[in-house]
Order: sequence, then C-alpha cells, then structure tokens
Amino acid sequence: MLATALLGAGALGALWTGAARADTELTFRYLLDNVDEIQAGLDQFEADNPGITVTMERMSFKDARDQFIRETATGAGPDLQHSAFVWIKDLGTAGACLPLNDIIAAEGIGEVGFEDFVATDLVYGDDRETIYGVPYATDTWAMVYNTDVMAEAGIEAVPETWDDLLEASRKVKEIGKIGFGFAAGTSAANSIWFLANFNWWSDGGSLVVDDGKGGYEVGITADQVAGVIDYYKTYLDEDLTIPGSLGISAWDDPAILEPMLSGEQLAALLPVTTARSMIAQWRERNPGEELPFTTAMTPHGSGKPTTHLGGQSMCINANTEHLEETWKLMQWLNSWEFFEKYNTGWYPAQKALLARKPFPAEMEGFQKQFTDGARSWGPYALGPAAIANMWNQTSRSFGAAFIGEKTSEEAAQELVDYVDNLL
Amino acid sequence: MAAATAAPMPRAFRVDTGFSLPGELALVLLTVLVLIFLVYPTAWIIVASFKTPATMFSATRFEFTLENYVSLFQTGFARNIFNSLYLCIAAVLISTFVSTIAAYTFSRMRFRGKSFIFGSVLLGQCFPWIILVTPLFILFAKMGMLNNHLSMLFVYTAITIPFSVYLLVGYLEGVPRSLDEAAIIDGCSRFQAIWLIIFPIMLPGIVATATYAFMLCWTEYLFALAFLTKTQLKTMPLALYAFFGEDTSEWGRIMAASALTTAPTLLLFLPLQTRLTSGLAAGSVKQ
Amino acid sequence: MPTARGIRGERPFIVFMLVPAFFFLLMFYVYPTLFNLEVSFTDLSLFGLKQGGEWIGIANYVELVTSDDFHRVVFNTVVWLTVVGVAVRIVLGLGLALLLDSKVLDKYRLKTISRVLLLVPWATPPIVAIVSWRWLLNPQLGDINKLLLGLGIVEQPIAFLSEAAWVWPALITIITWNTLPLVALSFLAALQSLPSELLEAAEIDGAGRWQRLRYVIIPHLKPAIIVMTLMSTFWTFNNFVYVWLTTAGGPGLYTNVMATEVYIKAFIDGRMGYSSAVGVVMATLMVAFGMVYLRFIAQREFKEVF
Repeated sequence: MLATALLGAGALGALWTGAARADTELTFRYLLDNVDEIQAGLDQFEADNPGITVTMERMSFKDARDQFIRETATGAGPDLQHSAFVWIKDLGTAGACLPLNDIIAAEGIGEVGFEDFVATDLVYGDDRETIYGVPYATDTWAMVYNTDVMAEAGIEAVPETWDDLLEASRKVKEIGKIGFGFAAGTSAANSIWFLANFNWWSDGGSLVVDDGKGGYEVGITADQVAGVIDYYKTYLDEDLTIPGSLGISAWDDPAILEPMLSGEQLAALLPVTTARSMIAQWRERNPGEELPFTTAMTPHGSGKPTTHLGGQSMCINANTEHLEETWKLMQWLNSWEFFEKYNTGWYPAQKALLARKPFPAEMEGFQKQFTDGARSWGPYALGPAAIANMWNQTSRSFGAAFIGEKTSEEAAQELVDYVDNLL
Repeated sequence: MAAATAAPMPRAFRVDTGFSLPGELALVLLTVLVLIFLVYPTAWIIVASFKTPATMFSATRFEFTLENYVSLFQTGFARNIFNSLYLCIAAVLISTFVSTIAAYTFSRMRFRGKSFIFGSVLLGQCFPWIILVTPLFILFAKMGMLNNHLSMLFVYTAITIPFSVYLLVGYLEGVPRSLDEAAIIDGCSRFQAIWLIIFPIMLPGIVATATYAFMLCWTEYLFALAFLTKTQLKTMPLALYAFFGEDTSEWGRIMAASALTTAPTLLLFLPLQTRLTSGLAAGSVKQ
Repeated sequence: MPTARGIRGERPFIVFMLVPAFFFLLMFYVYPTLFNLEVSFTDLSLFGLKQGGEWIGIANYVELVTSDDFHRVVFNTVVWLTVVGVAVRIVLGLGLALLLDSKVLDKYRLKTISRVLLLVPWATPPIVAIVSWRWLLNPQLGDINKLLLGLGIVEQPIAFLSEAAWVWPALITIITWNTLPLVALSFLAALQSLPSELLEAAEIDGAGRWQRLRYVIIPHLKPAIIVMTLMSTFWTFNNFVYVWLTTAGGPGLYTNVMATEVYIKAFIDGRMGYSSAVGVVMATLMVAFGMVYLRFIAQREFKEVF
C-alpha cells in the first residue's frame, strides 16, 4: 500500500513536472513582480524562436541568491538567472555563473556592445577579468514630495540639504503630519543601508574606497557614521517620520506609501519603479485630479547629492546544457524592443537605450539623479568585503543605536571596525 | 406555592453555577472578550480580503470588492491550492499509515532494541527542522529530486511521524490489549486484528493525528521554499510568502491568499471539534 | 503465544511494520544531523559550497562560545521565547480551559459556540496569523493602536514590533494567540475527565473555589500540564517561522533566536560552517532536554511500551 501510494504520487509528480518534449526547455528565474509583462515578452521570444520554450520561475530577491548558489553547487538551477548588480562577483566566485568573455567576444551583446552597458565594473569575478554577468536593467533612488503637504506646512522650495529636510519635517509635524517617511527597520532586506550610504556619500564619506595601492580601505570616520546615525535617530526621537518606522524595512511598505498617497506625509526616498507605481496608484484613485507630487534629487551634505546606480544583471548557470539558446534569450532581454514593448517600467542598463527612454515631467528628479547624482557601488562590490555582510552590519549597528541599546558612537565604531576587519 | 404560580423556568436557568449573578455576568463578559481576542485576527483578514486597497486599512470605511480574489487567481493561485491539497492529503495518508503501524508495533509487540527505537522516534519531536534544510537540499539535488512533489511528500511525512507516533501510541495504550489478543486467539491474523478490531476503536485518535499532520503540511513553507522553484509546483504558503517579498505591495492579493489558506483548515477544524477533543484527551491525558 | 506484554516470535511482522518509520528516521533525522556535525568543523561558506570547506577543528564552536551575540541569542531563545512564551501559554491555557468548562457558559448557551471559536486561531496558519498581527500591531494603521488611542489609554501610537520594550511581548502575544487553543483544548479534555463526585465531595467538605482548584483540579490536570509544557517547549524552542516572519530577528539583533541565527548565518552571512555549529548546539540542547523528557516522563507515561 505504501509502495503503491509512493509510486502513484511519483508518477503524478512526474506528469506534472512536464513530460520530456522535443523542444529545448529553458528555465528563467525572475525576481521582480511585474511577471505579466515579462511573460508577454517571453511569449514573444518563443514565437520568434520556434523550438525553444521558456519557463519563468518567480522568486523574491531575499531568497534568490542563496537558492541559486545551492542549486548550482549541486548541478541544478535555472538556465538564466536574474540577479542584483552586486551579486555577480560572489556568484562568479561561487562557480555559479558561466564565464561569458568568449561568447561576448564572438557574438557581441546589446545594441552597441558590452562597453555601452552601465555598471560593468560589477560583472567581473575576483580576477577582474572574467565576465560572469550582463547588466540588464538599472534604477536609482530620488526624493518624492507631496506638494499639498508642502503648501500646507508653508514649505516653499524642495529641501536642498539633509538639514533642510529635517527642518521641513519639523514644520510638517507642527501641522500634525508626517515629515520624511522612511523605513528604519533592520530585517534582512532593509532600506536603512541605502539611506545611510546616500547620506554619507553626499558628505564625502564612503564605507569602502580604493586605497590607490590596489587595495581597499574604510573611507569614513566613526564620527561621520555616528553623525548619520544621529541624523536618522532625530527623526525617530522627535516623531518626524512614520510611527513604527523601526518595525518596517521595505521602502515600498504601505506604511510609507499610504500616507504619501493620502496627503499625510511630506516626503519619501524611493527607487524609480516604486515612485512610478505609487504615482500610478494615485492617478487610479483620483482620476482627473492634478498630481500632488514632485520629484527631486536627494538632499546633500557638504558634497553633491548621491545615490547608487542600482539594478539587475543576468547570469547564465554554469551547469546549463543550452548555452546557445540561453544566450539568445539574454540578447532578447537586452534589446530595445523588449524594454519598449514589454518591460516598460524599467530602465535598460545600456546608455544608448537609456537615452531613448522617456521620463514624464513628474519624474524629472529621477532623470537628474540618473544623469548627475548616481554612482556605482564600485569599490563596495570590488573589494573583499561582501556587500551583504556590510549591509547587514550597517542595519544591525543602526538598529542597536536606534533602540538605544548602544550609543551612536559605539554603534558607529562597531560598524567601522567590522568593515575595516573585512577589508 | 411558588412552584404552583411561577411559570416553569427554562431548565438552563436552574443550573447552579456556583456564582452570584454579577459574578456570572462578569464571566460571560470575560468569555466574550476572550472570544473576540481569539477570533478577531482571523476575521480581520477575511474581511480585509473583500475590501478595496484604498479602504483595506481603514476601520470605518468599507468598499466591497472581489477584485483581490480575481487578481489573485490571475496569478495562478488555483494551481497552488491544488498542489497544497494534493500534497497534504497524500502526505497525511502516508504519514498516518506509517505512524499507525509503527505505533501498533510499539504498543503491542516485544522485541529487542524497542526502547531505543521508540525513544529515538519520540526524540524526533524535539528536533529543530531548520537544520534539515541544507542537508536535505543537497541530498535531493544529488538524486535529481528538486522541483519534485515526491521529495516534499517524503519531507512532510518525515516531519509529522514523531508526533503522530507519540499521539497514536498514547491512544493505543488506552485500548485494552486483551481486545486484540482475544481476536488472535479467536483465529484472526495480526492484520485482521488490527484492521477489524483496533482500527475502528482508534479512529478518533487517528483523525486527531491526521488533522495535526495536515495542519503542519498545509502551513509549511521553509522546505517548500528551498525545494520547489517551479511556479506550477509551488504550494499555497509558498505563494503567500512570495506575495510578501520585499518587492510587492499587493496587499489585496495577500489578504485574499491568506483568507484562502485559512479557509480549508477552518472548515476542517470546526466540524471535527468533538473528535479532536476526545483524540487529544487520549493523546495528552495520561495518568 | 500471548504474553503479558505482547506476542513473541513475529519478527518479519515487526520488521515490516517498523521499516517505513525507520527509513524516515534515518534519512530525515540521522543523516542531516551527521551532515551538520561534519560541516560544523569546517569553514564551509555559501559561496564555496561547490568547492567544499576546510577542516578547522573546533574553531566555530570556540567563536560561538565566546561571542556576545551568541550569548544573547541563547538568552533570547531560552528565556524569552521558551520560558516566558511557554509559561504564558500554560497559564492562559489553564485559565481558558477553566472558563470554557464553567457551568456559567452552559447556562447562557455559550458552551458550544465558545468551543468552536476556540479553534479559530489554531486553524489559522502561522504565516497568516503573522500577516494579520503585523497589521493589527501596526502603529499607524493597526486596530490595536486605534483602540488604545480611542480609549485614551495611550496618547502616542505604540510601535509594538520595533520598540525594544514591546517587541518581545508582541511576539509572545502572536505565538500565544496561535498556539493557545491546542493547550486549552488538552486541558479542557482533561477537565472533562475529572469525576464530578470528586469536586462535589470537596465542596461538601467545605472547600472553597480556590481550594478546589488547588487541591482537586490542578493535581488532576498535572499530567496534562506536564505533557503540554514539554511539547510547547519543543515546538517553541525550535520554531523559526514566528520570529523570522514577524521581526526577522530585529530590530538590530534584538529578537534573534537560535533558529533564526542558523538561518541568518547560513543564508544571509553565508557562513555554513558556523551556522551548522549553531545548529548542532541547538539540536544538542534539545536532545538533552528530550532525554530528560524520555527518562522522567515518557518512560512513565508509556511504561508498558518501554
């Protein structure tokens, strides 16, 4: 009975996993939630390439890297893997991604060529020569302000500096609303890492810098870090941000977006896609009304506004048995047609294509940020310290200071020592 | 006199509760408050799943919509429901079968090493599953059994066996041994004795055990997360978990998915209430 | 030939009956444990999964024993999650069982409905419970804060899941809510097996409510209380889902427990070796606890079996 049950279940399982077909079956692991658009693009690819079928698997960012490493280490995994920009080096080191130097040299990539891609410094392995991935889409962060709240609180111009933003938040608090809403939570996929970096970058500091001698070092003092911790802690202590900010980690948490949409909050610092979908949602809820949002570059300290040039790459599974077909898919996903017709919400990671992508008027802040205020992770990704580890330590140190478990100075020192140790 | 003039009181009101009237009312009030505490979070999810995103988090506004469910099913959620149902029912059948025969053997047979084996099975209850994920992943990957419901079936059977055996042995210990021994003396085979005599008596305990195993499987996502990546193989909690990734704000869908994940267990539990109580009584009340 | 304890000489039958369970035990408990044990003596990293790790002896264990972070993880797991969590559950479960067993509910026709509704939290999958509670506890949009503000109990909303003072109580509330029915139900079942003559006799002897509770009811429930305490301890100590999906060990590492530490170290920090060492410590603690359980409870509970 047991054996029969197992056999029966096994046979059913086999049926459902799909019987073998004559076609080449590719598996594509995708990490964002605009699956319908991507699926339409994949359908188009299948129509253009008879004999190849593509199955898309959706997985969330927070689990995808580990899963892919586990899979590739055991000979499994999807043929084409969607990845964060900054994972590629680690994935390459782990032997998860196939070296692409030869195929790029032989067949080229993208519309203009490999040199035209942004953030290519992040696609190399430890040896700085082997290419393990191809940048695919890019994004950056900028500020979104609710103009109704600005007017009501008597704020005339968009804040220029971080201190201006704090002052504006205080003014907004006087009318009983939320100032700058951000997620101060510190779970694995947190936003505080970005907020921290944007802040010290615009002040000339950086957690990791090239030491000019082929190595890497910490480019920021503990005092500077403590200053940044205190800056965000001020919002928490004076209730200038969303209540319970410490309990949420995601930048697109409804607790941040809802008050923006309902006119209860002055500002949020958001990635371009989140900002777009938030604005779209507002239009859906308030058809025909005038949009109460404006976007602007991030505030700055003594330097200029700086955010990161983020985005995603694609890498090919080192175990793939269908390199040729997978490469075709890679080419399609990097074509202008794909971004124009299907992946419309994202910006291609090629300069030639990026220039063609339209920015609506309300997204002007993002356009400026893209062209004038976005840097690559560069030394962060290239140095020996894994970004994931610095990211986690940053959130842990900030979190400990936010809840008063450590002083800002202790927390800052802990973070600087930790990164120094890794380097 | 009084009895002759007063209308007969409803029987219930003659119950001596041992409390004065204010005491009784206080207890009733307490009960109501406790019940609200118990039911509210689940009820809230179900109500929210029928609200438009704009009114979802508002206590006062309510705009009814089925849009959340429609958009949920457009993501292929029906498939997840089917996968979960099929996987859990199969796992429960196997696990309950394996546990029942093992429990019977432990309870009724004598053999060398029994204390050790039985003790080991019981110890399985206190095992942290989290440390199983990586070794089992590697094992299944080497056997080519990733993205395969069979491996999930094995895992779910394995993690439910220790507690099921424990519950069932407990139950069997309450069934007099003389029963099956008498049957065997009367000429029944072992299997007949089990099937015809013991099984019917054990049924409430088996139902309680199976319910427990079903719940465990129905809500498990950690193993599923590592072992199932193909969309058409994913189970319900996994789809639910995916909705609250860091990159979605589709709360309407999450509420609808949550409500649907809860519905079958609610429907399963409420009618089984008496069975569960007696099953548990046997399982956890031993003198 | 029947004997007092069973029937001898049925070896093939016994083997047949136990082989399936044995197979699952070996493959899903013994093998992974050995695997973890081996990995815990290496520096295996997630990124080096393909190449394998180097043997580094007991370095992981040394690090773990001397790490302040780990001390806190143990404290959180043992004191907060397990001792406080389980104690709250047992006490409330007992109270709830007594309430539901009370004749008052019979009188007001609340008995059946309350027993049915008691099952609702148990029938709610933990992942759903967490979705719901996270919203209920949300400072801005959550009903609990709205209620507290409305009643004038607090002036500022409380961020239950992020303020150090509140996060553990909030977590324990969620876990308790979800697991209370099972405990209450077992106690209720035990209460129903209490012969009513016993209570009546106590009453005639002049025992008050508290005395009856203390000298008749609690002693009668003692076996159920012990079993439920042990079971709850196993489940809670090892549970990953509640803490992970509610706070992910945060804020900072404030609510990190052993199960989440195993996960964080392996899959976020990529240190499989260290994570396995944590897992081995975790399993050892639980097995040690389990041995106590076997020796003092199970062997008495199942004295006919052992």
